[in-house]
Amino acid sequence: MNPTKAPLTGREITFGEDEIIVSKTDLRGVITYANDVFERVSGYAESELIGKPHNLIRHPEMPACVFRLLWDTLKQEKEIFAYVLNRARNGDEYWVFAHVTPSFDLDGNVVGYHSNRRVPYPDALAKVKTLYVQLLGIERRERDRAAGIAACMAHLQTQLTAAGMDYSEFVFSLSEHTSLGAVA
Amino acid sequence: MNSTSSNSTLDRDAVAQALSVIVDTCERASQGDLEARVVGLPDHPELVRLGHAINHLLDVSDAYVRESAAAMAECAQGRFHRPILLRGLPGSYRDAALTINQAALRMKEDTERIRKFEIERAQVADRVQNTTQSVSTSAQTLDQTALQILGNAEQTKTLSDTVAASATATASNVSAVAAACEELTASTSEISRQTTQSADLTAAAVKQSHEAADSVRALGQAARKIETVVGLIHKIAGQTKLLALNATLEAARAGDAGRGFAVVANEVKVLSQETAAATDSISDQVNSMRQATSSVASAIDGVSAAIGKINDNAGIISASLEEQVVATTEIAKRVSEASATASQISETIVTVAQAASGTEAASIQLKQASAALFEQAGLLSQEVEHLNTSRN
Ligand SMILES: Cc1cc2nc3c(=O)[nH]c(=O)nc-3n(C[C@H](O)[C@H](O)[C@H](O)COP(=O)(O)O)c2cc1C
Repeated sequence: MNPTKAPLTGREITFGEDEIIVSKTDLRGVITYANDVFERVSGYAESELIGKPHNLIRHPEMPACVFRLLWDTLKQEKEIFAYVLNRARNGDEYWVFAHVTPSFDLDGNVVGYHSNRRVPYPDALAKVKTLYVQLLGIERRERDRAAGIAACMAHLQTQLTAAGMDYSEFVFSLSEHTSLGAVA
Repeated sequence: MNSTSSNSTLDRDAVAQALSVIVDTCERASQGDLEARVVGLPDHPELVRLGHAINHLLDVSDAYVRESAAAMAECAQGRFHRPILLRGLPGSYRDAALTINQAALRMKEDTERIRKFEIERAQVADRVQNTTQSVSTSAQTLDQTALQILGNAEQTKTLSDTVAASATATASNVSAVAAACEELTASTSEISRQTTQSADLTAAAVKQSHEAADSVRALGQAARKIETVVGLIHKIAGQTKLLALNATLEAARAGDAGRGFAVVANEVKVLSQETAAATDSISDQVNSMRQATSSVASAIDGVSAAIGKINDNAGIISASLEEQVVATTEIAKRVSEASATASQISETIVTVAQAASGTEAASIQLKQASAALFEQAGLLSQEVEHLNTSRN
Protein backbone atom coordinates (compact mmCIF):
# COMPACT_ATOMS: atom_id res chain seq x y z
CA MET A 1 0.00 0.00 0.00
CA ASN A 2 2.43 2.57 1.20
CA PRO A 3 5.87 2.00 -0.32
CA THR A 4 7.44 4.50 2.10
CA LYS A 5 6.45 2.52 5.19
CA ALA A 6 9.18 2.41 7.76
CA PRO A 7 10.36 -1.04 8.85
CA LEU A 8 8.99 -2.46 12.11
CA THR A 9 10.94 -1.38 15.16
CA GLY A 10 9.44 -3.83 17.64
CA ARG A 11 9.02 -0.82 19.94
CA GLU A 12 5.68 -0.64 21.71
CA ILE A 13 4.08 2.72 22.28
CA THR A 14 0.90 3.55 24.12
CA PHE A 15 -1.56 6.35 24.91
CA GLY A 16 -3.53 7.72 27.85
CA GLU A 17 -6.12 5.58 29.64
CA ASP A 18 -8.47 8.55 29.51
CA GLU A 19 -8.07 8.87 25.76
CA ILE A 20 -9.84 7.26 22.83
CA ILE A 21 -8.42 6.86 19.36
CA VAL A 22 -11.26 7.61 16.98
CA SER A 23 -11.63 7.01 13.27
CA LYS A 24 -14.46 6.83 10.78
CA THR A 25 -14.49 5.11 7.40
CA ASP A 26 -16.80 4.86 4.44
CA LEU A 27 -18.48 1.57 3.59
CA ARG A 28 -15.25 0.23 2.04
CA GLY A 29 -13.05 1.04 5.03
CA VAL A 30 -11.54 4.21 3.62
CA ILE A 31 -10.75 6.68 6.38
CA THR A 32 -13.02 9.74 6.49
CA TYR A 33 -12.09 11.01 9.94
CA ALA A 34 -9.35 10.51 12.50
CA ASN A 35 -9.09 12.35 15.76
CA ASP A 36 -6.03 14.07 17.14
CA VAL A 37 -5.16 11.11 19.34
CA PHE A 38 -5.15 8.88 16.23
CA GLU A 39 -2.81 11.35 14.52
CA ARG A 40 -0.52 11.62 17.49
CA VAL A 41 -0.25 7.86 18.22
CA SER A 42 -0.05 6.67 14.61
CA GLY A 43 2.23 9.48 13.62
CA TYR A 44 0.18 10.33 10.54
CA ALA A 45 -1.16 13.80 9.78
CA GLU A 46 -4.85 14.20 9.04
CA SER A 47 -4.18 14.77 5.38
CA GLU A 48 -2.20 11.51 5.25
CA LEU A 49 -5.08 9.53 6.74
CA ILE A 50 -8.23 10.93 5.08
CA GLY A 51 -8.99 8.92 1.94
CA LYS A 52 -6.61 6.10 2.81
CA PRO A 53 -7.73 2.52 3.40
CA HIS A 54 -7.64 1.60 7.06
CA ASN A 55 -5.15 -1.18 6.56
CA LEU A 56 -2.65 1.67 6.42
CA ILE A 57 -1.88 0.91 10.04
CA ARG A 58 -2.20 -2.88 9.75
CA HIS A 59 0.45 -4.81 11.62
CA PRO A 60 1.70 -8.06 9.98
CA GLU A 61 1.48 -9.95 13.27
CA MET A 62 -2.33 -9.53 13.31
CA PRO A 63 -4.16 -12.70 12.32
CA ALA A 64 -6.21 -12.06 9.18
CA CYS A 65 -9.22 -13.92 10.60
CA VAL A 66 -9.70 -11.14 13.18
CA PHE A 67 -10.39 -8.67 10.35
CA ARG A 68 -12.56 -11.23 8.56
CA LEU A 69 -14.61 -11.50 11.74
CA LEU A 70 -14.66 -7.69 11.98
CA TRP A 71 -16.02 -7.20 8.49
CA ASP A 72 -18.47 -10.15 8.73
CA THR A 73 -19.87 -8.63 11.90
CA LEU A 74 -20.08 -5.11 10.48
CA LYS A 75 -21.93 -6.46 7.42
CA GLN A 76 -24.54 -7.80 9.84
CA GLU A 77 -24.83 -4.21 11.14
CA LYS A 78 -23.50 -5.28 14.52
CA GLU A 79 -20.75 -3.91 16.73
CA ILE A 80 -17.51 -5.77 17.31
CA PHE A 81 -14.76 -5.53 19.88
CA ALA A 82 -11.26 -6.68 19.09
CA TYR A 83 -7.81 -6.40 20.51
CA VAL A 84 -5.71 -5.10 17.64
CA LEU A 85 -2.02 -4.51 17.21
CA ASN A 86 -1.36 -1.48 15.01
CA ARG A 87 1.64 -0.21 13.20
CA ALA A 88 2.66 3.45 13.53
CA ARG A 89 4.07 5.41 10.71
CA ASN A 90 7.60 5.06 12.10
CA GLY A 91 7.35 1.26 12.47
CA ASP A 92 6.51 1.33 16.18
CA GLU A 93 3.55 -0.74 17.34
CA TYR A 94 0.64 -0.14 19.70
CA TRP A 95 -2.11 -2.37 21.07
CA VAL A 96 -5.67 -1.10 21.16
CA PHE A 97 -8.96 -2.45 22.40
CA ALA A 98 -11.01 -1.49 19.36
CA HIS A 99 -14.76 -1.04 19.26
CA VAL A 100 -16.00 -0.92 15.67
CA THR A 101 -19.62 -0.08 14.84
CA PRO A 102 -21.69 0.78 11.82
CA SER A 103 -22.75 4.45 11.55
CA PHE A 104 -26.33 5.10 10.63
CA ASP A 105 -27.83 8.18 9.01
CA LEU A 106 -31.00 9.68 10.45
CA ASP A 107 -33.04 7.25 8.27
CA GLY A 108 -31.28 4.25 9.76
CA ASN A 109 -29.09 3.43 6.73
CA VAL A 110 -25.50 2.36 7.27
CA VAL A 111 -23.40 5.21 5.93
CA GLY A 112 -20.01 4.15 7.19
CA TYR A 113 -18.14 2.67 10.11
CA HIS A 114 -16.72 4.08 13.30
CA SER A 115 -14.04 2.93 15.65
CA ASN A 116 -13.21 3.89 19.23
CA ARG A 117 -9.99 2.45 20.58
CA ARG A 118 -8.93 2.30 24.18
CA VAL A 119 -5.81 1.30 25.96
CA PRO A 120 -6.14 -2.46 26.33
CA TYR A 121 -6.53 -4.12 29.71
CA PRO A 122 -3.32 -5.98 30.59
CA ASP A 123 -5.08 -9.08 31.94
CA ALA A 124 -6.89 -9.46 28.61
CA LEU A 125 -3.90 -8.63 26.49
CA ALA A 126 -1.81 -11.49 27.85
CA LYS A 127 -4.48 -13.99 26.76
CA VAL A 128 -5.00 -12.27 23.43
CA LYS A 129 -1.31 -12.44 22.59
CA THR A 130 -1.23 -16.17 23.23
CA LEU A 131 -4.34 -16.68 21.10
CA TYR A 132 -3.01 -14.56 18.22
CA VAL A 133 0.28 -16.49 18.17
CA GLN A 134 -1.79 -19.69 17.92
CA LEU A 135 -3.93 -18.22 15.15
CA LEU A 136 -0.94 -16.96 13.20
CA GLY A 137 0.65 -20.39 13.43
CA ILE A 138 -2.50 -21.99 12.05
CA GLU A 139 -2.87 -19.31 9.37
CA ARG A 140 0.70 -19.69 8.16
CA ARG A 141 0.46 -23.46 8.09
CA GLU A 142 -2.20 -23.23 5.36
CA ARG A 143 -1.29 -23.01 1.68
CA ASP A 144 -3.09 -19.68 1.01
CA ARG A 145 -4.74 -16.73 2.72
CA ALA A 146 -8.31 -18.01 2.30
CA ALA A 147 -7.46 -21.45 3.70
CA GLY A 148 -5.55 -19.77 6.55
CA ILE A 149 -8.53 -17.62 7.46
CA ALA A 150 -10.90 -20.60 7.25
CA ALA A 151 -8.66 -22.72 9.50
CA CYS A 152 -8.37 -19.90 12.06
CA MET A 153 -12.12 -19.27 12.05
CA ALA A 154 -12.68 -22.99 12.64
CA HIS A 155 -10.17 -22.96 15.48
CA LEU A 156 -11.75 -19.89 17.04
CA GLN A 157 -15.20 -21.39 16.73
CA THR A 158 -14.03 -24.60 18.43
CA GLN A 159 -12.61 -22.57 21.33
CA LEU A 160 -15.82 -20.57 21.66
CA THR A 161 -18.01 -23.68 21.55
CA ALA A 162 -15.86 -25.28 24.24
CA ALA A 163 -16.23 -22.18 26.40
CA GLY A 164 -19.97 -21.99 25.67
CA MET A 165 -19.72 -18.37 24.55
CA ASP A 166 -20.16 -16.33 21.46
CA TYR A 167 -17.32 -14.06 20.31
CA SER A 168 -18.70 -10.96 22.00
CA GLU A 169 -19.05 -12.74 25.35
CA PHE A 170 -15.56 -14.13 24.88
CA VAL A 171 -13.98 -10.74 24.25
CA PHE A 172 -15.59 -9.24 27.34
CA SER A 173 -14.68 -12.27 29.44
CA LEU A 174 -10.99 -11.63 28.80
CA SER A 175 -10.67 -8.84 31.35
CA GLU A 176 -12.14 -8.21 34.75
CA HIS A 177 -12.37 -4.56 33.72
CA THR A 178 -14.87 -5.29 30.98
CA SER A 179 -17.57 -6.68 33.25
CA LEU A 180 -20.73 -4.83 34.28
CA GLY A 181 -19.51 -4.41 37.83
CA ALA A 182 -16.18 -2.84 36.78
CA VAL A 183 -15.56 0.70 37.96
CA ALA A 184 -12.36 1.42 36.03
CA MET B 1 -5.16 19.26 9.22
CA ASN B 2 -3.90 21.00 6.18
CA SER B 3 -0.18 20.61 6.47
CA THR B 4 0.64 22.43 3.27
CA SER B 5 -0.11 25.90 4.58
CA SER B 6 1.37 26.67 7.99
CA ASN B 7 0.99 30.39 8.15
CA SER B 8 -0.58 31.71 11.32
CA THR B 9 -2.28 34.58 9.53
CA LEU B 10 -5.21 33.67 7.28
CA ASP B 11 -7.27 35.77 4.98
CA ARG B 12 -10.84 36.54 5.98
CA ASP B 13 -12.31 34.15 3.39
CA ALA B 14 -10.30 31.22 4.73
CA VAL B 15 -11.40 32.05 8.28
CA ALA B 16 -15.00 32.47 7.19
CA GLN B 17 -14.86 29.14 5.38
CA ALA B 18 -13.32 27.38 8.38
CA LEU B 19 -15.95 28.87 10.69
CA SER B 20 -18.64 27.80 8.28
CA VAL B 21 -17.34 24.20 8.43
CA ILE B 22 -17.31 24.38 12.23
CA VAL B 23 -20.80 25.87 12.40
CA ASP B 24 -22.17 23.26 9.97
CA THR B 25 -20.65 20.51 12.08
CA CYS B 26 -22.11 21.92 15.28
CA GLU B 27 -25.51 22.31 13.66
CA ARG B 28 -25.50 18.73 12.32
CA ALA B 29 -24.42 17.43 15.72
CA SER B 30 -27.12 19.42 17.49
CA GLN B 31 -29.64 17.79 15.10
CA GLY B 32 -28.47 14.46 16.48
CA ASP B 33 -26.13 13.62 13.60
CA LEU B 34 -23.10 12.50 15.57
CA GLU B 35 -21.30 11.56 12.36
CA ALA B 36 -20.45 15.20 11.86
CA ARG B 37 -16.81 16.17 12.42
CA VAL B 38 -14.68 19.15 11.66
CA VAL B 39 -12.33 17.94 8.96
CA GLY B 40 -9.93 19.83 6.63
CA LEU B 41 -9.43 23.05 8.53
CA PRO B 42 -6.51 25.21 7.43
CA ASP B 43 -3.35 24.76 9.46
CA HIS B 44 -3.89 27.61 11.86
CA PRO B 45 -3.16 26.83 15.52
CA GLU B 46 -6.27 28.42 16.98
CA LEU B 47 -8.57 26.98 14.36
CA VAL B 48 -6.98 23.56 14.74
CA ARG B 49 -7.45 23.73 18.50
CA LEU B 50 -11.04 24.75 17.98
CA GLY B 51 -11.57 21.92 15.50
CA HIS B 52 -9.99 19.36 17.84
CA ALA B 53 -12.01 20.67 20.76
CA ILE B 54 -15.26 20.37 18.81
CA ASN B 55 -14.27 16.94 17.47
CA HIS B 56 -13.29 15.79 20.93
CA LEU B 57 -16.67 16.89 22.26
CA LEU B 58 -18.33 15.02 19.42
CA ASP B 59 -16.09 11.94 19.85
CA VAL B 60 -16.92 11.69 23.52
CA SER B 61 -20.62 12.25 22.91
CA ASP B 62 -20.54 9.79 20.00
CA ALA B 63 -18.68 7.23 22.12
CA TYR B 64 -21.13 7.64 24.98
CA VAL B 65 -24.14 7.31 22.70
CA ARG B 66 -22.71 4.28 20.82
CA GLU B 67 -21.62 2.59 24.03
CA SER B 68 -24.80 3.16 25.97
CA ALA B 69 -27.02 2.28 23.00
CA ALA B 70 -25.04 -0.90 22.26
CA ALA B 71 -24.85 -1.92 25.91
CA MET B 72 -28.59 -1.38 26.34
CA ALA B 73 -29.32 -3.21 23.08
CA GLU B 74 -27.57 -6.27 24.52
CA CYS B 75 -29.47 -5.90 27.79
CA ALA B 76 -32.68 -5.67 25.80
CA GLN B 77 -31.72 -9.06 24.30
CA GLY B 78 -31.29 -10.44 27.80
CA ARG B 79 -27.50 -10.52 27.43
CA PHE B 80 -25.50 -8.91 30.18
CA HIS B 81 -21.87 -9.46 29.26
CA ARG B 82 -21.40 -6.04 27.72
CA PRO B 83 -20.85 -3.01 29.95
CA ILE B 84 -20.38 0.55 28.77
CA LEU B 85 -16.61 0.88 28.62
CA LEU B 86 -15.58 3.57 31.03
CA ARG B 87 -12.21 4.32 29.52
CA GLY B 88 -12.23 7.53 27.50
CA LEU B 89 -15.51 8.71 29.04
CA PRO B 90 -14.84 11.67 31.31
CA GLY B 91 -16.86 13.26 34.10
CA SER B 92 -20.62 13.19 33.70
CA TYR B 93 -20.35 10.75 30.78
CA ARG B 94 -18.51 8.35 33.03
CA ASP B 95 -20.94 8.84 35.92
CA ALA B 96 -23.88 8.22 33.62
CA ALA B 97 -22.12 5.15 32.19
CA LEU B 98 -21.46 3.82 35.68
CA THR B 99 -25.11 4.30 36.63
CA ILE B 100 -26.25 2.51 33.50
CA ASN B 101 -23.78 -0.33 34.14
CA GLN B 102 -25.08 -0.70 37.68
CA ALA B 103 -28.66 -0.73 36.43
CA ALA B 104 -27.66 -3.36 33.87
CA LEU B 105 -25.98 -5.38 36.61
CA ARG B 106 -29.21 -5.23 38.61
CA MET B 107 -31.11 -6.28 35.48
CA LYS B 108 -28.68 -9.15 35.04
CA GLU B 109 -29.21 -10.37 38.60
CA ASP B 110 -32.98 -10.03 38.28
CA THR B 111 -32.94 -11.80 34.96
CA GLU B 112 -30.87 -14.63 36.39
CA ARG B 113 -33.28 -14.92 39.28
CA ILE B 114 -36.20 -14.89 36.86
CA ARG B 115 -34.51 -17.50 34.66
CA LYS B 116 -33.92 -19.71 37.66
CA PHE B 117 -37.50 -19.17 38.70
CA GLU B 118 -38.65 -19.87 35.15
CA ILE B 119 -36.74 -23.13 35.13
CA GLU B 120 -38.29 -24.08 38.45
CA ARG B 121 -41.66 -23.01 37.18
CA ALA B 122 -41.14 -25.07 34.04
CA GLN B 123 -40.24 -28.06 36.18
CA VAL B 124 -43.30 -27.53 38.34
CA ALA B 125 -45.36 -27.06 35.20
CA ASP B 126 -43.94 -30.30 33.79
CA ARG B 127 -44.77 -32.10 37.01
CA VAL B 128 -48.24 -30.57 37.03
CA GLN B 129 -48.59 -31.49 33.37
CA ASN B 130 -47.57 -35.08 34.10
CA THR B 131 -49.89 -35.26 37.08
CA THR B 132 -52.64 -33.71 35.01
CA GLN B 133 -51.98 -36.30 32.32
CA SER B 134 -52.30 -39.14 34.79
CA VAL B 135 -55.35 -37.52 36.39
CA SER B 136 -56.83 -37.22 32.93
CA THR B 137 -56.04 -40.87 32.22
CA SER B 138 -57.50 -41.89 35.59
CA ALA B 139 -60.58 -39.80 34.89
CA GLN B 140 -61.02 -41.59 31.59
CA THR B 141 -60.61 -44.96 33.26
CA LEU B 142 -63.01 -43.81 35.97
CA ASP B 143 -65.45 -42.74 33.31
CA GLN B 144 -65.25 -46.15 31.66
CA THR B 145 -65.62 -47.87 35.03
CA ALA B 146 -68.60 -45.67 35.87
CA LEU B 147 -70.10 -46.54 32.50
CA GLN B 148 -69.52 -50.22 33.24
CA ILE B 149 -71.03 -49.87 36.72
CA LEU B 150 -73.95 -48.02 35.21
CA GLY B 151 -74.43 -50.85 32.71
CA ASN B 152 -74.18 -53.41 35.50
CA ALA B 153 -76.59 -51.47 37.69
CA GLU B 154 -79.06 -51.20 34.83
CA GLN B 155 -78.71 -54.91 34.16
CA THR B 156 -79.07 -55.65 37.86
CA LYS B 157 -82.15 -53.48 37.99
CA THR B 158 -83.66 -55.23 35.00
CA LEU B 159 -82.72 -58.62 36.41
CA SER B 160 -84.04 -57.78 39.85
CA ASP B 161 -87.24 -56.51 38.29
CA THR B 162 -87.55 -59.83 36.50
CA VAL B 163 -86.65 -61.73 39.66
CA ALA B 164 -89.08 -59.62 41.67
CA ALA B 165 -91.79 -60.32 39.12
CA SER B 166 -91.10 -64.03 39.10
CA ALA B 167 -90.77 -64.04 42.90
CA THR B 168 -94.15 -62.39 43.13
CA ALA B 169 -95.53 -64.91 40.62
CA THR B 170 -93.91 -67.71 42.58
CA ALA B 171 -95.32 -66.37 45.82
CA SER B 172 -98.82 -66.20 44.36
CA ASN B 173 -98.38 -69.66 42.78
CA VAL B 174 -97.17 -70.99 46.07
CA SER B 175 -100.10 -69.38 47.83
CA ALA B 176 -102.45 -71.02 45.36
CA VAL B 177 -100.75 -74.35 45.88
CA ALA B 178 -100.90 -73.83 49.64
CA ALA B 179 -104.58 -73.05 49.43
CA ALA B 180 -105.12 -76.11 47.22
CA CYS B 181 -103.14 -78.17 49.69
CA GLU B 182 -105.20 -76.87 52.54
CA GLU B 183 -108.38 -77.65 50.65
CA LEU B 184 -107.00 -81.06 49.80
CA THR B 185 -106.09 -81.62 53.45
CA ALA B 186 -109.52 -80.47 54.48
CA SER B 187 -111.34 -82.66 51.99
CA THR B 188 -109.05 -85.58 52.75
CA SER B 189 -109.84 -85.13 56.41
CA GLU B 190 -113.54 -84.99 55.56
CA ILE B 191 -113.23 -88.14 53.47
CA SER B 192 -111.26 -89.71 56.26
CA ARG B 193 -113.92 -88.69 58.73
CA GLN B 194 -116.66 -89.99 56.50
CA THR B 195 -114.70 -93.17 55.86
CA THR B 196 -114.28 -93.65 59.56
CA GLN B 197 -117.99 -92.99 60.01
CA SER B 198 -118.88 -95.47 57.26
CA ALA B 199 -116.48 -97.96 58.83
CA ASP B 200 -118.31 -97.46 62.12
CA LEU B 201 -121.62 -97.88 60.30
CA THR B 202 -120.34 -100.98 58.54
CA ALA B 203 -119.14 -102.38 61.80
CA ALA B 204 -122.56 -101.70 63.28
CA ALA B 205 -124.16 -103.33 60.22
CA VAL B 206 -121.85 -106.32 60.60
CA LYS B 207 -122.80 -106.57 64.25
CA GLN B 208 -126.45 -106.23 63.43
CA SER B 209 -126.18 -108.81 60.65
CA HIS B 210 -124.42 -111.13 63.10
CA GLU B 211 -127.24 -110.51 65.54
CA ALA B 212 -129.73 -111.10 62.73
CA ALA B 213 -127.93 -114.32 61.84
CA ASP B 214 -128.04 -115.33 65.49
CA SER B 215 -131.77 -114.55 65.62
CA VAL B 216 -132.28 -116.53 62.43
CA ARG B 217 -130.32 -119.43 63.87
CA ALA B 218 -132.39 -119.19 67.06
CA LEU B 219 -135.48 -119.13 64.84
CA GLY B 220 -134.20 -122.30 63.08
CA GLN B 221 -133.72 -123.98 66.43
CA ALA B 222 -137.21 -122.88 67.51
CA ALA B 223 -138.57 -124.26 64.23
CA ARG B 224 -136.90 -127.59 64.88
CA LYS B 225 -138.38 -127.57 68.37
CA ILE B 226 -141.78 -126.72 66.80
CA GLU B 227 -141.27 -129.59 64.36
CA THR B 228 -140.60 -131.95 67.24
CA VAL B 229 -143.67 -130.64 69.02
CA VAL B 230 -145.69 -130.81 65.80
CA GLY B 231 -144.44 -134.40 65.24
CA LEU B 232 -145.50 -135.19 68.80
CA ILE B 233 -148.88 -133.59 68.25
CA HIS B 234 -149.22 -135.37 64.92
CA LYS B 235 -148.41 -138.64 66.62
CA ILE B 236 -150.87 -137.78 69.38
CA ALA B 237 -153.48 -136.83 66.75
CA GLY B 238 -152.98 -140.18 65.00
CA GLN B 239 -153.30 -142.03 68.27
CA THR B 240 -156.28 -139.85 69.11
CA LYS B 241 -157.86 -140.79 65.77
CA LEU B 242 -157.29 -144.39 66.42
CA LEU B 243 -158.78 -143.96 69.86
CA ALA B 244 -161.73 -142.08 68.33
CA LEU B 245 -162.22 -144.93 65.85
CA ASN B 246 -162.10 -147.40 68.60
CA ALA B 247 -164.45 -145.21 70.61
CA THR B 248 -166.82 -145.06 67.69
CA LEU B 249 -166.69 -148.74 67.31
CA GLU B 250 -167.28 -149.12 70.98
CA ALA B 251 -170.06 -146.50 70.89
CA ALA B 252 -171.73 -148.32 68.03
CA ARG B 253 -171.56 -151.46 69.99
CA ALA B 254 -172.96 -149.49 72.92
CA GLY B 255 -175.90 -148.46 70.72
CA ASP B 256 -177.90 -145.62 71.96
CA ALA B 257 -176.08 -145.27 75.17
CA GLY B 258 -173.25 -144.93 73.14
CA ARG B 259 -174.69 -142.60 70.66
CA GLY B 260 -173.66 -139.49 72.46
CA PHE B 261 -170.39 -140.97 72.90
CA ALA B 262 -170.24 -141.81 69.27
CA VAL B 263 -170.83 -138.13 68.57
CA VAL B 264 -168.03 -137.14 70.80
CA ALA B 265 -165.83 -139.81 69.40
CA ASN B 266 -166.66 -138.57 66.00
CA GLU B 267 -165.81 -135.09 66.99
CA VAL B 268 -162.58 -136.22 68.50
CA LYS B 269 -161.82 -138.08 65.26
CA VAL B 270 -162.62 -134.90 63.33
CA LEU B 271 -160.48 -132.88 65.72
CA SER B 272 -157.63 -135.30 65.44
CA GLN B 273 -157.96 -135.21 61.73
CA GLU B 274 -157.98 -131.43 61.85
CA THR B 275 -155.06 -131.49 64.22
CA ALA B 276 -153.20 -133.79 61.92
CA ALA B 277 -153.99 -131.51 59.04
CA ALA B 278 -153.03 -128.48 61.10
CA THR B 279 -149.75 -130.02 62.15
CA ASP B 280 -149.08 -130.93 58.57
CA SER B 281 -149.68 -127.37 57.53
CA ILE B 282 -147.56 -126.21 60.50
CA SER B 283 -144.92 -128.64 59.49
CA ASP B 284 -145.11 -127.34 55.96
CA GLN B 285 -144.96 -123.79 57.19
CA VAL B 286 -142.12 -124.57 59.60
CA ASN B 287 -140.38 -126.26 56.76
CA SER B 288 -140.79 -123.38 54.47
CA MET B 289 -139.90 -121.15 57.40
CA ARG B 290 -136.74 -123.19 57.93
CA GLN B 291 -135.95 -122.88 54.27
CA ALA B 292 -136.59 -119.17 54.44
CA THR B 293 -134.52 -118.90 57.60
CA SER B 294 -131.60 -120.73 56.11
CA SER B 295 -131.72 -118.60 52.94
CA VAL B 296 -132.02 -115.52 55.17
CA ALA B 297 -129.05 -116.82 57.17
CA SER B 298 -127.00 -117.38 54.07
CA ALA B 299 -128.13 -114.00 52.73
CA ILE B 300 -127.11 -112.44 56.02
CA ASP B 301 -123.79 -114.26 55.81
CA GLY B 302 -123.40 -112.88 52.30
CA VAL B 303 -124.29 -109.42 53.49
CA SER B 304 -121.98 -109.89 56.44
CA ALA B 305 -119.14 -110.98 54.19
CA ALA B 306 -119.81 -108.09 51.82
CA ILE B 307 -119.87 -105.68 54.76
CA GLY B 308 -116.66 -107.25 56.04
CA LYS B 309 -115.09 -106.71 52.65
CA ILE B 310 -116.38 -103.14 52.56
CA ASN B 311 -115.00 -102.71 56.04
CA ASP B 312 -111.61 -104.02 54.90
CA ASN B 313 -111.65 -101.72 51.88
CA ALA B 314 -112.70 -98.83 54.05
CA GLY B 315 -109.74 -99.60 56.35
CA ILE B 316 -107.37 -99.60 53.37
CA ILE B 317 -108.91 -96.38 52.04
CA SER B 318 -108.73 -94.89 55.48
CA ALA B 319 -105.05 -95.90 55.79
CA SER B 320 -104.16 -94.53 52.38
CA LEU B 321 -106.13 -91.41 53.16
CA GLU B 322 -104.17 -91.13 56.35
CA GLU B 323 -100.97 -91.37 54.33
CA GLN B 324 -102.34 -88.87 51.88
CA VAL B 325 -103.15 -86.48 54.69
CA VAL B 326 -99.62 -86.85 56.04
CA ALA B 327 -98.18 -86.32 52.56
CA THR B 328 -100.43 -83.34 51.91
CA THR B 329 -99.55 -81.83 55.27
CA GLU B 330 -95.89 -82.30 54.40
CA ILE B 331 -96.45 -80.70 51.01
CA ALA B 332 -98.35 -77.86 52.63
CA LYS B 333 -95.47 -77.36 55.05
CA ARG B 334 -92.95 -77.33 52.24
CA VAL B 335 -95.11 -75.05 50.16
CA SER B 336 -95.48 -72.59 52.99
CA GLU B 337 -91.72 -72.70 53.47
CA ALA B 338 -91.33 -72.07 49.74
CA SER B 339 -93.80 -69.25 50.07
CA ALA B 340 -91.80 -67.75 52.91
CA THR B 341 -88.60 -68.09 50.87
CA ALA B 342 -90.28 -66.57 47.83
CA SER B 343 -91.47 -63.58 49.81
CA GLN B 344 -88.03 -63.30 51.36
CA ILE B 345 -86.56 -63.32 47.84
CA SER B 346 -89.13 -60.75 46.89
CA GLU B 347 -88.09 -58.49 49.78
CA THR B 348 -84.41 -59.07 49.12
CA ILE B 349 -84.79 -58.35 45.45
CA VAL B 350 -86.52 -55.08 46.25
CA THR B 351 -83.49 -54.16 48.34
CA VAL B 352 -81.25 -55.28 45.47
CA ALA B 353 -83.29 -53.18 43.05
CA GLN B 354 -83.04 -50.20 45.40
CA ALA B 355 -79.31 -50.79 45.74
CA ALA B 356 -79.03 -51.04 41.96
CA SER B 357 -80.93 -47.76 41.61
CA GLY B 358 -78.59 -46.24 44.16
CA THR B 359 -75.59 -47.63 42.28
CA GLU B 360 -77.01 -46.32 39.05
CA ALA B 361 -77.47 -42.85 40.49
CA ALA B 362 -74.04 -43.02 42.10
CA SER B 363 -72.41 -44.19 38.88
CA ILE B 364 -74.12 -41.43 36.92
CA GLN B 365 -72.73 -38.98 39.45
CA LEU B 366 -69.38 -40.75 39.21
CA LYS B 367 -69.50 -40.43 35.46
CA GLN B 368 -70.34 -36.75 35.68
CA ALA B 369 -67.62 -36.30 38.26
CA SER B 370 -65.07 -38.12 36.11
CA ALA B 371 -66.12 -36.13 33.07
CA ALA B 372 -65.75 -32.95 35.09
CA LEU B 373 -62.41 -34.20 36.35
CA PHE B 374 -61.31 -34.95 32.80
CA GLU B 375 -62.42 -31.51 31.69
CA GLN B 376 -60.68 -29.90 34.64
CA ALA B 377 -57.53 -31.87 33.85
CA GLY B 378 -57.79 -30.67 30.24
CA LEU B 379 -58.22 -27.07 31.37
CA LEU B 380 -55.34 -27.45 33.79
CA SER B 381 -53.22 -28.92 31.02
CA GLN B 382 -54.13 -25.97 28.78
CA GLU B 383 -53.30 -23.59 31.59
CA VAL B 384 -49.94 -25.24 32.09
CA GLU B 385 -49.31 -25.26 28.35
CA HIS B 386 -50.34 -21.64 28.28
CA LEU B 387 -47.91 -21.02 31.15
CA ASN B 388 -45.15 -22.83 29.27
CA THR B 389 -45.67 -21.06 25.97
CA SER B 390 -46.12 -17.63 27.52
CA ARG B 391 -42.80 -18.14 29.23
CA ASN B 392 -40.86 -18.10 25.94
C1 LIG C 1 -13.96 1.71 11.21
C2 LIG C 1 -12.83 0.75 10.93
C3 LIG C 1 -11.69 0.81 11.69
C4 LIG C 1 -10.63 -0.05 11.43
N1 LIG C 1 -9.49 0.04 12.22
C5 LIG C 1 -8.43 -0.73 11.95
C6 LIG C 1 -7.23 -0.63 12.70
O1 LIG C 1 -7.13 0.16 13.65
N2 LIG C 1 -6.18 -1.41 12.38
C7 LIG C 1 -6.27 -2.32 11.35
O2 LIG C 1 -5.28 -3.00 11.09
N3 LIG C 1 -7.39 -2.44 10.62
C8 LIG C 1 -8.47 -1.71 10.91
N4 LIG C 1 -9.60 -1.87 10.16
C9 LIG C 1 -9.71 -2.95 9.22
C10 LIG C 1 -9.12 -2.63 7.89
O3 LIG C 1 -10.13 -2.07 7.10
C11 LIG C 1 -8.58 -3.87 7.21
O4 LIG C 1 -9.64 -4.77 7.03
C12 LIG C 1 -7.47 -4.57 8.00
O5 LIG C 1 -6.45 -3.68 8.29
C13 LIG C 1 -6.87 -5.75 7.26
O6 LIG C 1 -6.31 -5.36 6.05
P1 LIG C 1 -6.08 -6.39 4.85
O7 LIG C 1 -7.39 -6.99 4.56
O8 LIG C 1 -5.58 -5.54 3.71
O9 LIG C 1 -5.09 -7.35 5.36
C14 LIG C 1 -10.70 -1.00 10.39
C15 LIG C 1 -11.87 -1.06 9.65
C16 LIG C 1 -12.93 -0.21 9.91
C17 LIG C 1 -14.18 -0.29 9.10
